[in-house]
Amino acid sequence: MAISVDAPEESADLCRKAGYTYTFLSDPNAEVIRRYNLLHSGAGVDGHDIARPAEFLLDSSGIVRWVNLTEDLRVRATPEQMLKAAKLARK
Amino acid sequence: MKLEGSSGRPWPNSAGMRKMVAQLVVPGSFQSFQWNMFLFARLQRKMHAVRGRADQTLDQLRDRFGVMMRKLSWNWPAWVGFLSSILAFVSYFTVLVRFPITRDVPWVNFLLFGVAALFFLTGLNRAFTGSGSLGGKLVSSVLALLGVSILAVFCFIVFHATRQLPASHGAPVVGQKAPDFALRDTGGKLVSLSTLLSSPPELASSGTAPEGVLLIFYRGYW
Repeated sequence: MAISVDAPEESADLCRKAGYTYTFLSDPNAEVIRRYNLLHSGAGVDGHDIARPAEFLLDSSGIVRWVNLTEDLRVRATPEQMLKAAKLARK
Repeated sequence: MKLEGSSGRPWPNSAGMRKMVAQLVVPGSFQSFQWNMFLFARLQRKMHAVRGRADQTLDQLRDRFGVMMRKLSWNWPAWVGFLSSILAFVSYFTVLVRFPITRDVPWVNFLLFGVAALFFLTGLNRAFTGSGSLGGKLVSSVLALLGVSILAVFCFIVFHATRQLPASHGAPVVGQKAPDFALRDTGGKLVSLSTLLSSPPELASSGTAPEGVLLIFYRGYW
C-alpha cells in the first residue's frame, strides 16, 4: 500500500489513471510520515512538508523485513527488487 | 570543318544558327565560296556570343550556389550540436525517466551529449579554420557555450538537486516493529496498518490472511 500527503480524491484520480488496485492512504498533515521519520520538510508545492521516498516490507506481524531509503529521488526501488525482497522474507 | 571551341563544349543549338547552316550552299564557284565563308564567319561570331552568354550564366549560377551552400553550411554542425544537447536534456525528463534502465544512470542522455560535443567540435573547427567569418565564429561559439550550459544544468539536477533528501536516521530499520497508524483511503474510509496486516480490503473476497505488507511512502502530487 502507498502513503502520501495527497488528498483521498487525488489518490483516487491517480489510481484510476494508472490502474492501481492496492490501498492508497492519505496523510495530508504528514503525521504518520513524521512518526516514521520520513519527513522532507518544505519540499512540496508551496513549501509543504512531504514524505521522502521510502519503501518498507513488513511481515504479517508488522516487523520490518526490508527497507529501501533512496539517496536520490530519481532512483526508486524497482518492482523486481521488491518482489525479490518479498521472496527472501518468505523463507 | 571543326566548329567547336577550345572548351570542347557541344555546339550551341539555336534556331538562328540552324537557319544559317541551312543557307550554306554547295561550293561550286568563287561566289558561292565567298558566300559560305561569310556565313561561316557570322556563324562563328553568333556561336561565340551564345556560348559566352551561357558561360556567364553558368558561372553566375555556380557562384550563387556556392554562396548559398556556404551560408547554409558554415556552421550546420554547430546547430546540430545545439539541437542534440536540447534533445539530450529534454528526452530524460519526458521519456527516459520512466524506465529504470535509462533513469537510474542517464547513460542515453550522456551519449547524446557526447554526440552534441562531436558536432560542436566540428562546427567550431569549421568556423575557426580557413576563411571563417566573424559571424560564423560568434554563432558557433555561442551555440557551443549554450550546449555546455545545458549539460551543466543537467549534471546539477542529476548529481545534486535530486539527492537533497533528508537522511531519515530515525526511520524504522530491519527487525523493528513498524508503528501502527490509521489513515483515510481513496474512498475516505479510515484504514489502519493492523487491519492491512490482518484483513486487508484487497483480500476481503478471498478470505485469506496476508503474508505481509509493502509500505510505500511517496512524494505525492501525481
